[in-house]
Amino acid sequence: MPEPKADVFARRSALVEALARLVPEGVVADQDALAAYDCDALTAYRQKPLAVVLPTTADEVSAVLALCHREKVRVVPRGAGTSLSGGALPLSDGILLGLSRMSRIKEIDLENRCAVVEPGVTNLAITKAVEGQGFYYAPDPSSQIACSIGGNVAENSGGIHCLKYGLTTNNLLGVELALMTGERIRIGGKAMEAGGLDLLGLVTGSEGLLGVVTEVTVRLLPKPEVALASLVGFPSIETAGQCVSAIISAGIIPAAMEIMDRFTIDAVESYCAPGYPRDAAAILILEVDGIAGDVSRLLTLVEGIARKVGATSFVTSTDERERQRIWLGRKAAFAASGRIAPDMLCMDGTIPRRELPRVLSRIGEMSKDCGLPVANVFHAGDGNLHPLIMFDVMKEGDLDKAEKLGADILKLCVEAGGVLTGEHGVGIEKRDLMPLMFAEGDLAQQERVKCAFDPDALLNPGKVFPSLSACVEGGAMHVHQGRIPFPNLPRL
Amino acid sequence: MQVLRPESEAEAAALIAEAAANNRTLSIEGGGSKRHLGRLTTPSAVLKLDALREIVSYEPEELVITVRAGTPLAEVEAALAERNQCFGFEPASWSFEPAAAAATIGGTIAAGAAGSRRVVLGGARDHLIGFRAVNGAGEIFKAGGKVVKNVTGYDLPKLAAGSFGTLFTMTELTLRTYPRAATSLTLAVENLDVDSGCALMRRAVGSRFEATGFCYLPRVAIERLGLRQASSLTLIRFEGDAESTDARAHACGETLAVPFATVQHDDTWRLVQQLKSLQASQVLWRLSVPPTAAVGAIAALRPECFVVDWAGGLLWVEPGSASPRDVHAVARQFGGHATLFRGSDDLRRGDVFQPLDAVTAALTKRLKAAFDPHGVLNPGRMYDGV
Ligand SMILES: Cc1cc2nc3c(=O)[nH]c(=O)nc-3n(C[C@H](O)[C@H](O)[C@H](O)COP(=O)(O)OP(=O)(O)OC[C@H]3O[C@@H](n4cnc5c(N)ncnc54)[C@H](O)[C@@H]3O)c2cc1C
Repeated sequence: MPEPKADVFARRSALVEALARLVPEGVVADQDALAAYDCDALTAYRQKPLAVVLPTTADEVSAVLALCHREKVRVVPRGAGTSLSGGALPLSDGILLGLSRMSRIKEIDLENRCAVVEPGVTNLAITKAVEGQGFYYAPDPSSQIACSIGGNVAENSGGIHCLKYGLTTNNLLGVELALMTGERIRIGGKAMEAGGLDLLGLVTGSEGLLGVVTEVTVRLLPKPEVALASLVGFPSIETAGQCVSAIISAGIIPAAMEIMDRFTIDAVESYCAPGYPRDAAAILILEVDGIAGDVSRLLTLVEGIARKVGATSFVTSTDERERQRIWLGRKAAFAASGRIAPDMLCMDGTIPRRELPRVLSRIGEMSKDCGLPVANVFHAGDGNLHPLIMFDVMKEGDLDKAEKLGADILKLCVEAGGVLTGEHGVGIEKRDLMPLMFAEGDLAQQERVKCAFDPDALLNPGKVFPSLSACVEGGAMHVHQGRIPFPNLPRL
Repeated sequence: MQVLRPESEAEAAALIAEAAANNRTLSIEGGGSKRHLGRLTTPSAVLKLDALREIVSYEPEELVITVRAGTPLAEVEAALAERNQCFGFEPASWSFEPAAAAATIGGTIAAGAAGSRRVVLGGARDHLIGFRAVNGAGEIFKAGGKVVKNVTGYDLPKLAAGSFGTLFTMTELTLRTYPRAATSLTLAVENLDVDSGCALMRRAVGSRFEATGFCYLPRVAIERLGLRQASSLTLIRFEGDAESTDARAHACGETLAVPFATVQHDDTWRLVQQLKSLQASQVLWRLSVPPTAAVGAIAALRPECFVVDWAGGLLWVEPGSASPRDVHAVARQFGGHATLFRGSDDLRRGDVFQPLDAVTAALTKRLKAAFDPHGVLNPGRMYDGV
């Protein structure tokens, strides 16, 4: 992380006082209370912030940022703290700016198929607010009860339905963004396209490095007439993968396609007994939605394809309760695996689907070699893998082994033509692996974008980029401060 | 004007570096079909990318294609069609007669040229997943990736789409592909006034029948196209296999409770994409507005002719006497933005794109400098100083 600024520590009490004037009742400075904010869902990394500020309005956000800008104090934005990549990890000399108290749904406009919400509103709350009228917000990360829409924008989060409906970025119409100076801009609104350069697209997925999202306008979709889920058993994970490719090759894009390996099936069966086939080496859960006639015809087609590539069982839900039950095990996969080992690392690489057999068997070998079990449960439709590495932090050397294995898996994904992260973000977890995917010039170009927004590198510095670059006036040039080559620093 | 035609990415980089070193400016061009778009500029030379022409790789099962920037759009679309695929954003050709040069894939994305399907499947921005480019200093860089799901680093592909070549020159693009529908069926409703037509489209887009196009043509537009006799046409398109489109179109028609006809493979969608009813327009504006604002914006502009697409989200307007300032004011008033699409050289020296507020304008300039510090690439094409 960036070298803490000693002078900021010296000014701590004055800063806390100034913040309390800007956000009365919204400053946490007590050391014990600060412990609650010392990490996000990447719990292996912990750090208490200088102080936490919990504003309730966009004006307060602006005021806090303006103060920090003037005082050259670093700021880390935080939504619900469910990031799996350490994006919301505090800095010892920085303010943690929590947006969770900004949780109002400001407007629901069904005629324009959108909702305007504050950043702290949870993902699920948006759907809950409109489902009565037959609408929903499509991106559905498994963390949707807890994660905030502001965090979703910052991470460009996905979910099981993004094969058909896209990631967060494909479902936004506008945001209000507070820059590090405290100035706020509106990007887009209720129109389908915003004018000028596509700043909305740039800010989405920028992991809190470019600005603080103070309002979001999301696109709503009409709920499909019917959604049915099928549970398909396969004799091997490879055939399950082939089935997914065959379905897509036939021109069919189901709403979701998820694969789970034997290890995970066993874990969820003992956790919540969703009734998955005990004899299958892997299962594919797929969902098809649309009007009733289309759904049943598509499912017939899909079943034909699945049988042809060697499916051993194919069961389709007949009502909503059964559909929920099929999904139950998938949704519990994370928690169920968590029971098997005290600690877990959830990886997130994406690969071209054709590489699935090779990559999965290689992961199996690597897992054996280092002695840490790996569960595979993933978004098969778009090749987004989530290998879950099981370990025990209390065991000497286990964390290092797990991190090394994680890095090796991601390296494998990149070698296979894929990427480091499909939906969880780079954060600090994959920061030092960025050179695997991007050359120095590629990263330098991205860092110049950061300079255009935040030339003093005050907003969430130390995340995403392996080196801290100094911006030169105008954001035009930059200087490297000792880029660290990957092999020497298996940080992950 | 001098035309530079690099044969490779390295050559393009060298030419841009040389221009930067000599304080020259370049107009970046693919086929040149969109030369009329954007502000009028006075570059030292044209950098034409049509020699970078190749389908680098195409993997239909991965839903991904990689092409060099200067490949003609028609060539790419033909390759996709061969494997029963297409681009989900329905690239718009926006051609003006006499038939302009062929659009390239690079130009199509840089102009953000999406058609009627944008309303459900997203725009050019949503389908570009990675690229290689040369920045204004002549440095080659890449961004994004070659898989459909990726959040590694800033999403620069989004920024590329619709940037009109003002930030960097794309040399290679990786795009997402989409299964091609077997057929299309259009539900046509005649003689609705614009208010009822737009309300009908909004109901249809909020319904469960997964239509992929919603447009409205008033009498003038219909007459100019030489279509049937009607005071207006409200069209709702369904794509898929025959059984599905038939079921959805009829169920939708019944839900909307209006008299309707269905038309197989209605050619009107192509005519709308090509702006065929607006060819005579000396001045043409494109407005993106919230769907419920469409009617108000049209009334405020009192156009000679207009076409509504995206269920009210997109307006093509041939304004009567409204000045650019008026059109931009109307667009702002109704919560959207307006772009001058066709106009005299004089008009094109003024504001073509919606003027930005001061903070966004300053940020836009800093972003320009982050990619093109010497202002070599299409300077002034979008905004003065960008
Ligand atoms: C059990 C579990 C399951 C998960 N499943 C999924 C899944 O299926 N798909 C998926 O994509 N992710 C998933 N995640 C990851 C996580 O939930 C998402 O990344 C989520 O979007 C984070 O939201 P948050 O509100 O918790 O953000 P935080 O964790 O608080 O912050 C995340 C990042 O966003 C920044 N940030 C937060 N709010 C703002 C704001 N208002 N303005 C600017 N920057 C901001 C932070 O600085 C940080 O960099 C899962 C996590 C868990 C724990």
